Amino acid sequence: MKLRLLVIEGNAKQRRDADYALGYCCGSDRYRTILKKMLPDAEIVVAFPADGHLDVQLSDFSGVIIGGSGLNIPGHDDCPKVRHQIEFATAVFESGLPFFGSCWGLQVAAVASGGQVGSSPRGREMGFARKIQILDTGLASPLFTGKPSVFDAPAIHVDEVTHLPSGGVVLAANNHSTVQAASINYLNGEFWGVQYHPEFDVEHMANLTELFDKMVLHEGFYENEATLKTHIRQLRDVHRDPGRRDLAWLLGLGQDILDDGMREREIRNWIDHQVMPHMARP
Amino acid sequence: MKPRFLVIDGYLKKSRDELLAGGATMAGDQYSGMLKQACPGAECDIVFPCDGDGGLPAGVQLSDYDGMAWTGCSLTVFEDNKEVNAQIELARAGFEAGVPGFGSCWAAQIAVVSAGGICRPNPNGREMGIARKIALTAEGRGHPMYTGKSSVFDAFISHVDEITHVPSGSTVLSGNAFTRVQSVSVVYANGTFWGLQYHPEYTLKEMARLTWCRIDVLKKLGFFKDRAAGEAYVELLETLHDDPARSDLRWLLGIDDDILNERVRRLEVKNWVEHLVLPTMVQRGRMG
Repeated sequence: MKLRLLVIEGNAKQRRDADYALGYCCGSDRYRTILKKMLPDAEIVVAFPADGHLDVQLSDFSGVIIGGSGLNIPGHDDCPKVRHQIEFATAVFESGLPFFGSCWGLQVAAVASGGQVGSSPRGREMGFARKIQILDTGLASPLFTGKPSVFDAPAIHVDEVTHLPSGGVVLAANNHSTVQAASINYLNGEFWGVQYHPEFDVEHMANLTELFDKMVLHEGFYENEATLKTHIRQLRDVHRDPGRRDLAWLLGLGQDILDDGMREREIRNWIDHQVMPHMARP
Repeated sequence: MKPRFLVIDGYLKKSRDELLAGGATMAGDQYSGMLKQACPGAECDIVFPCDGDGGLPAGVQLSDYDGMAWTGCSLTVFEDNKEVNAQIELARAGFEAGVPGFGSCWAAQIAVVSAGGICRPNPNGREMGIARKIALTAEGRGHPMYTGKSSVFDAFISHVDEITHVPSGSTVLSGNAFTRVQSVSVVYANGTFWGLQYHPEYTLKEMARLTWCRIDVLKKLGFFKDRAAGEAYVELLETLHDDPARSDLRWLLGIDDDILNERVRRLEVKNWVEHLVLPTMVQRGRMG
């Protein structure tokens, strides 16, 4: 049987068009690139539930990933773009398929299974989530096999999981968010999710900073437009030229961010420990 | 009775003069300032063992002190010369006398070596500026030096050597990806020494001045593309020092409260006074 993975793009068409207009890719493109690298023979299908009700046959797939989104659940759970995705996540739990999510994906899975999401009292976590610590529960989870027990990770979010459902276990946390990673057992399925973005490289973070330039300026991340532009340029230099370790040092970016294998380790582990065993089942 | 501390400033006079000329505060003064902040009313005598006349004040013995606190230093602990050997002898005498020890960087290395451990050049090279993601070991989490400290934190740092082997009786309390031993408790002879590879005594200002003094060296090592980049970095640190509310700079440089909040940064010192110095004073009958 051919390995087929379903990637859910959390953003609606309007936002994707904004990404493409600037020559950037969107979150599901990042997943497609990484999955094709890890599994060259797999078929990767991307679906867009924020554009309307999804009509996919889950039994055609060996795993489902929900990525990031600029949408918010708090105050918007009746909005069709949001509701379709929560309903879809419920269907994935029902199917028992291996299920992974980052950022929005974690939040959707948490709400679908009975948990709650709220806006963070600490505001936006932007750029790089610092000092994420794997908890004892996480050290025992195959999600973090081979990962350093404390690490930084690309992140951009204002909402966070405030309450996990009864089948949920917190696996990692930092000073900004008490749920940086979790697993959730619900209905027939098991979900693994992270609040950060293992699928984003430094260049993608530079692109997002540029896409949201007015918002991050307004929120006080930069003194002025010049410092914002300098930072974006520095991030791109760090990404394109491994020789610029002076900039990586200045910005406090270590191998946990810069080394693709280390940064994407949770995705690799999900494939090895959830997708592959599911494939092997008769 | 208030404790009396012996502060050991391990720098050569030449190195002290160079740092002073660059606008830095002398290491011994930084240390005694930090001790008096942690323990108001404490007395501090500063000595310079690298100077010819660097002995204790006249008429005073090691056992007259309630704690020995060691600054950092630019010497290399595994080189055999009289400046290094004098400090190893002094540390051993402190252990013999049962005087509680504490110190940063060089100090942790001196404590380990004088008790039979080993230091070597760090294969990762120089760790400079901010030591990232120092994590407490299981032993560190339960250790009185870290009471109230979070289990992961950043700290000021500047070193090229590291502790590779701790002597028996020692406990590694923390480490990070760059340096395996970021703090250690050394129990040897009659004494206990809590040593940190990082620098709670620094402020952003002191880190900035130290960096300024070393810009050319750091440029050669690849930390700065050119001198201008080094000077710009020093200016960023000084700007943030003068205005710690600059959340944009905190975020850009990845500098959190574990660095900027003095109470958090220096918790190890306060804990040393409360959990090692004062109890030892009671045991030694020095509380008056």
